[in-house]
Amino acid sequence: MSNGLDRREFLRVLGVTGAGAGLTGCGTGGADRLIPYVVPAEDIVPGMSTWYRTTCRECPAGCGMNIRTREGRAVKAEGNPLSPISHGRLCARGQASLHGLYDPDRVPRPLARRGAGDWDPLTWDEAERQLAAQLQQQRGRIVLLTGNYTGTLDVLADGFVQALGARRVRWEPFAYEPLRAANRMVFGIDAVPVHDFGNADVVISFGADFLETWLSPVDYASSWVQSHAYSQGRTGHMVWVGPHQSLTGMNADEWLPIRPGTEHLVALAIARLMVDDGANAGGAGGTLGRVDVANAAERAGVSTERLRQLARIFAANGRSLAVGPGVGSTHAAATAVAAAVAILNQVAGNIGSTVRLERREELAANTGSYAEMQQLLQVMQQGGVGALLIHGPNPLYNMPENDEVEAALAAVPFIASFSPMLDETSARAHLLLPDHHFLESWGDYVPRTGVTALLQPVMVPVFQTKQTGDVMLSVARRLNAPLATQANTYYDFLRERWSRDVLPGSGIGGTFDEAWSEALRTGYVEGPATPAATAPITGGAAAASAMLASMNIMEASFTGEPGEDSFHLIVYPSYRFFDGRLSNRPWLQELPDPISKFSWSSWVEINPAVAERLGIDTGHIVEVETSRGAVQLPAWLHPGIREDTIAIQMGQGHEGLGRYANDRGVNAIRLLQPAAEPLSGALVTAQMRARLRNTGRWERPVQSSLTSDQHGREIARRMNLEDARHRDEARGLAVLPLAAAPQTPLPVREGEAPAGDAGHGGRPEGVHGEPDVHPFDARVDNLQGAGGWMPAEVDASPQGWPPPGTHYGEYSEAHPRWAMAIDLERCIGCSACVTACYAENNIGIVGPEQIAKGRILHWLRIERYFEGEGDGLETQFLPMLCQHCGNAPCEPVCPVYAAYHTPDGLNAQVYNRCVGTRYCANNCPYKVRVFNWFSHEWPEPLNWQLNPDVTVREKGVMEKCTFCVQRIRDAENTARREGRGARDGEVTPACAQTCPGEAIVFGNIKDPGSRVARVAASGRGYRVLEGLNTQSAITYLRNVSVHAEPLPAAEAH
Amino acid sequence: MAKPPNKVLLAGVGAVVLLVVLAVGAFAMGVFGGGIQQPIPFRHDIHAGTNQIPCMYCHTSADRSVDAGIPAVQVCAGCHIPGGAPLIAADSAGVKQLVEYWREQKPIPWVRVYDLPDHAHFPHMRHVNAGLQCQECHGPVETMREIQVWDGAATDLRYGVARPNTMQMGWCVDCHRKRQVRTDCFVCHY
Repeated sequence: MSNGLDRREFLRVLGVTGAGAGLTGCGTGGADRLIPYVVPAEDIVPGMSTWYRTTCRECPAGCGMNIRTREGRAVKAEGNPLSPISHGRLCARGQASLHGLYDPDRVPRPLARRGAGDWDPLTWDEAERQLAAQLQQQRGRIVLLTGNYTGTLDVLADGFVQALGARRVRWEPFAYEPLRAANRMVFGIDAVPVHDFGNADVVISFGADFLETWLSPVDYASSWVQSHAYSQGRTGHMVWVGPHQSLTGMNADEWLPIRPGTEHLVALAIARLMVDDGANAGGAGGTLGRVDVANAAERAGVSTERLRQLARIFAANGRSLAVGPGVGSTHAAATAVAAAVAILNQVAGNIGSTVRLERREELAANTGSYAEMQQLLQVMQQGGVGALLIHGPNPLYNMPENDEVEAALAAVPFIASFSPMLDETSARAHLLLPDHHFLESWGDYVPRTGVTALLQPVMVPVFQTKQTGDVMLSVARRLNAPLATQANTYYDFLRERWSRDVLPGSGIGGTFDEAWSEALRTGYVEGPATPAATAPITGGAAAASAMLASMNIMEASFTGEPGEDSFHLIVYPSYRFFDGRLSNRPWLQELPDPISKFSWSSWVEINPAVAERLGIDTGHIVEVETSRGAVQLPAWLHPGIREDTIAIQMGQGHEGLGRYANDRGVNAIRLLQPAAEPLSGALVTAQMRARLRNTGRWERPVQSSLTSDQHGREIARRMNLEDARHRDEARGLAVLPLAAAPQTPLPVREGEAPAGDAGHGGRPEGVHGEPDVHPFDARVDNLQGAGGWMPAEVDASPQGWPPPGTHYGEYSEAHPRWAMAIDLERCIGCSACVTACYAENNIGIVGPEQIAKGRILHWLRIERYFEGEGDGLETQFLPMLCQHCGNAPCEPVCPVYAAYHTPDGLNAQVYNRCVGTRYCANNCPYKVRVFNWFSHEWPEPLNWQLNPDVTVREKGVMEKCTFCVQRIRDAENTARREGRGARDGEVTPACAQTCPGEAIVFGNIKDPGSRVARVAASGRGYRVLEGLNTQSAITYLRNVSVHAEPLPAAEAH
Repeated sequence: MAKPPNKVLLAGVGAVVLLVVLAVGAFAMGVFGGGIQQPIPFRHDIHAGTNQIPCMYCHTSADRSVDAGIPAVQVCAGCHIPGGAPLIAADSAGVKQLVEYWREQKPIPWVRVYDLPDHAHFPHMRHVNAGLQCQECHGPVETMREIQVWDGAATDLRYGVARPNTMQMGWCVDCHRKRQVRTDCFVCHY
């Protein structure tokens, strides 16, 4: 709130809105008044969850979502299992979308600027009148700047600018311009095809971080794990080509640490070698004929033999896939990389099999480029824009040319922003018309061709915001600029368009209302088919070849002086904050970055050998200087980066977004020159040399993991493929022959019916069993039938309890034995589970100072270990949570029996007993118990998100993973109502639910048919620190690694 | 130099303040004179006793939700003000208040009677579906003019026969033991 909306005013406004929402039902605890509904809401039963399907808009991927609401408030986000994009999973960003909804720094109502940084509150009527008046005045000089709109909002925005005679500019910071430019030239489509990672045995990524941010990360991560993880004796293979390993690179089996700017040379060299081995060049023969493999290898800094090896494994009968470049590897010849990758895919026969040209990621279609934004800035600076309406982009943060953007914004007489946040750009606006959060909005979104996903409000708006679609319709009416519609509201407009354009082609029958309900229930529909999908695909490799021939195929240059302390600077997207738009989410700030394990701050990645030479250690504050400026930030020693390269992540360094984001870390984009790649117009992120200087100052790093070394304790284990096959064979498990490539589609995702599978209504509704009939209690005789239940007759004496075998603190055979299996092959380290755990279990946000003291409260952490170095470097991820030991070291040391064992095998922590001696944490070998040094606060309205099923812990209490006991109890309650036991798959902890790789399986391990029992029986299974005889309930499955040494003969079976 | 405060005087004042606070608190809790005072003098004895309206007619979610549910104003209006005209007991002061609430479409701010601590989870539906009558925990509500809650008194003298249940953990556990239901902490405390 640096811009004048003072805190008191803010809270006052908030209080009014909160009361206006009026949705408090009755729950347990706290209030001394019970406020009932005047008229009961149809969907809401107090104490029960109501689920809504909608679509995630935290990044352009568009994952299907299930939102759990309680008493009218959204409390948990999960993936929609029906969605072809999310497959029922979400990443950490999707999990944290609720923090966007309840962000205390949202613009609470329309505001008009009065002088510098001072805002006057307006009513919506006044605000719209002001907007209309300004637009009337500036007619002919209006520009609408939007992000990536698809579907109905796109149609509306087009209609709006047409009616006003305005211009429209679309810009996304990650618009994948090089991919689009190459595809435009090669295949004649201005789009990015859908990549089928699920059918690719071999993947080569030229800097495309498809497990983190690239295009559709949840879908890609989910399907990549399906094809890559060890299953029935086989694994996939992934190669990361690039100077720096991001999270995706760290998941690769092989790393080709090439010199920055040489990706296209390597891709072409591999293609050439494949053609030499007999592959069909398919029109690219001319170009490939000119490729000098030895020269390319030398420029890239790799051996020819290594490239030959890659060429051999990449020839996999159309079951391989090359992708790239990514945002972080967009150098001055990025379009050439994309074209070379297209040739490589064509030569390998992947076009039409793993590269689906007929299905496209809509994300990038028709979205403008960085170059177009630069043009807009020029027009603005020359006074060519009278009114600028901004919805989405934040150019003042996301463009390197800060001064130019400032000047351009200053030259526009009237700026209105629809941003829900008072971000850097919005702070320059004259009028703020805050949009709803997407969880409060109606809408639709087309993530890829043939899939139209619906958005519906899951709760009443938190603030006095208004959907931008409604504002457009209303303002057009005020200006007498009719749009071609009968609709008065955006909701009507949406339904009108769906009845006309979307539902007829979707194959859903019935009346419009029936089809609409069905679409809301599933969350998306198939269709409409785009005409472009049937248009002939032109060109192919021949066109790519022609394109490359016209280019000077050289390695991309980096500006700046080479030298001892001069490095290639890589600026790459953040898994947590994307392009920086999500930096005000406390869960994401608190979440340790999957790569560096830093929270709340920026860091610069430096190769350990270089760091040693320069006398730098992790935590040293170093200065990184380019011709554009200098920043100071802590160093982190990353073995996955070349010695001549350093890297900084995007996303931090905000000057005005909110209390959690502001003045944290550095905005690395500011270090870049405002240079657009000539062919595609993309911002070149890999272009600069930077000087590195150690300031000599050291600050305790805000890092939750201070080591990447296992110290020989074999916590995260691995084995090679032969051993894994051998062991599984010895156990009689299915092992397919290695040579035969699977011709059948991948096995259907087996197992758990994820929570919320029953559609709009959420969890399956219970069916009442026949009530047991008992004699009435005389005292209440006159109330018989008062609800359909009868008292039970009881003759047991208290002395008979507990029955034998159920003495306090023992597992009892009569109960399930809850257990977990975690397949390290399927864990990509993305930490979505960590954020899901925060969301489900009301875990406190402790902030950077406390994290630096080692007091982070996460119940579940991802341990990240490096094995080997150089070419043999491998990263091992291991989710570490309470192991629910059968023989738990924490239990006997508790003086007050707060830590004890339940009859169903859980290691319980009873908060009301805990007195905070912390003996248990000291005795826990896994270090999974965390202590509340403070009572943590959630500023209004962030506290609205708290899960009402889980106690909020206070200062002085120890806490830890409960295996989501509230979900176990919930499933038991449901099962009991139906007169049965809980079925396998009915209990899914939050971490297992969201894992894109389905690495975590939970269930009753006592039932040999349960999924967890079957998975745990794998030959790869082991328990962490097994030698301590803790009898832990979590079975880890070893990573299958090409780098692993053969097991000693004694362990091979 | 300021005189050191008189410790005895301080203690005396403190004791008086404490007593006043306790008395006010106890009065607010309705323990002097039987029962919780509600914004509308709603009579459980008339509704559930005389007229034999089943509990779940109003507390609708007791058999399927953790919360039994507080009736919406519409539920009251459904009987008392059908079609907009006051019908049943139209002359009583309470119904007049109800009509007012309904006319203004305002919720009735009922005073919370039962308030378990946050760390204790009580799922109504588990108990209802196990065959318990509401009265086994809440007492003979159908005889109560105002809802009676236990005031911490050690004897039954004040209440005659129908002493309200303590709603404390020992009392919960007693019943769980009698019925051979799990009594380990994690069943309710998580």
